[in-house]
Amino acid sequence: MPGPSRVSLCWQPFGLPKRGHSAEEYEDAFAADPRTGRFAVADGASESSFAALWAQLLVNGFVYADRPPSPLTPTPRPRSGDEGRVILPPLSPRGERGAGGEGMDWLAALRQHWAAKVDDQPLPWYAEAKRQQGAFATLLGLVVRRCRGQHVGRWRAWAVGDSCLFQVRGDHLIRAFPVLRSRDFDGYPDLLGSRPSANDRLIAERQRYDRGRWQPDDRFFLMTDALAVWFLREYEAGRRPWRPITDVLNPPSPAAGFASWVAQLRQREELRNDDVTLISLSFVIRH
Amino acid sequence: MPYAAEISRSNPSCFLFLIDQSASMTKPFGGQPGKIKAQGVADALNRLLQNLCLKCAKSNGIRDYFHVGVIGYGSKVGSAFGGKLAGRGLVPISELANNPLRIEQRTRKVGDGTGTVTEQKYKFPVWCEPTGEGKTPMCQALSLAREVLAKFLKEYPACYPPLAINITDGMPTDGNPQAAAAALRSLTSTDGNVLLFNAHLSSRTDPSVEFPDTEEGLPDDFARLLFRMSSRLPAKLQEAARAEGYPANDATRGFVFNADLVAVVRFLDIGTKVAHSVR
Repeated sequence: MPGPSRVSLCWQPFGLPKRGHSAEEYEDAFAADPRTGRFAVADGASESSFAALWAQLLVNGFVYADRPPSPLTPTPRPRSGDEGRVILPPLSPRGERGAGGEGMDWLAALRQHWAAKVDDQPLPWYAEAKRQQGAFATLLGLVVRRCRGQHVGRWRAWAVGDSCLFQVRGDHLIRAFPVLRSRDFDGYPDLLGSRPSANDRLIAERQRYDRGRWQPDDRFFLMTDALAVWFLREYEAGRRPWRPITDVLNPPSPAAGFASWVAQLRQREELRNDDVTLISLSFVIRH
Repeated sequence: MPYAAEISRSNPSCFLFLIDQSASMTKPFGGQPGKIKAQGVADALNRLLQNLCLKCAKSNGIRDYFHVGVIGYGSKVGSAFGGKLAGRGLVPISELANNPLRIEQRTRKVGDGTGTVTEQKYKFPVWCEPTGEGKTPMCQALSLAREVLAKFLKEYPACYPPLAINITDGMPTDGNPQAAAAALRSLTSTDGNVLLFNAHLSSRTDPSVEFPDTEEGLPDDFARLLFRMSSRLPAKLQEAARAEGYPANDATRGFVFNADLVAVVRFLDIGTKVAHSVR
């Protein structure tokens, strides 16, 4: 029987602002805590203000939800292009806490934190109006766990909006979540708002869940909508979009490779000029 | 001609408003009893400008996705900007946002999702005061708009096509404006023709009409004239209009009767939109 420490998880996060925008104007977010197997990406809506802060709070809220007492405990954020490899923990018998499956209560703490950061700033009329409306973002979270004593495991995903998860096994796409077809991206994704809203109930109904099993030759990709649209279009055209992604993420400089590949896709107008975020996950068995 | 150009700070688009400031605008406004049409025009314009500014507002300022101008036509034809912007043609939207004539404090009722309704104070900027004097030189205003937009298109030839929005009671006194309107619509960037939309504010109390696809059922000749002068919605805007709940098709025109055109601001794509249904 294989030992519990033989499967390790490789993960690489990438985040790029729109072409023509500075790094400070990047409004997606990602967070990863591979020790607990939690990963998240979020897309702050361009038409809202303080969206980058809100997107970051959401991903941190998801990823660090398993660490009491506060999901907001400051934790070093992985930089784009960082690479990590950790031993995957076994499935927790007590199940998952935090985001997903417990209604929308967990949002309240994040909303308070957002308000505390932005509400006292003196702002011109337009920024004040946008602050009153609140910030909006999508959120996709993934939890990956290993079955005790085995080289396989389970995953669970949770999403509001159109940030996407793709599971690739060998050279085949075996799962897309929560959007299945490129034509289903309509530019009006479901969003989580940073202010309490009359539509919270509606959004609570629009949460999406998925779960499945993984094996060591699987690869997971979490991505925000621009790259996800490209991914699905390529797939629908009979191509295997995970191949070029996997190619550019190879050493020695995955961050530079990814940035240059995204720039080329934008140049060829195959990729909409939007913030791009990707977390790539794969498994390695050490013998 | 796909109306697909990205609207960005390096490749901005343009909104040019034409507002009727003639004497006929001092008559009652059918859309809102108790108001005169000039007040209706000022409200419509101020709301459009406010929404446009908010679309471009970020926490650290305004992004200049648009250049904006306001041409008034009545006793004179020319820039209707006042205060620090007086006499200016097109200005970057950050300048517009930072220079209203004044900012009013207003209140509105807001629900928090738990059934509690509270009064929320908010700031309402005013750029345009109600004015009504002289005749209605709409043809002249459309010609001036053509000059202004031709200049803009020279500077930004690949821009998302400029939008000209005419707010009027539809009674020109300097001839039939259809030729001048067609000339304005014939200007193009590499991404498509200039769009001319009309908001008809009438003294009639007929029900409001938004983005119709036929002139049948419009209440009078002025409404039909403005309908004919209005651009058809390009496919991308039809899509956006349908997403906002308007049943748009290839025949749908950028025309409203006793209603506002604020929805048009929402139709334009500058990034991930926040649909009303999720607010």
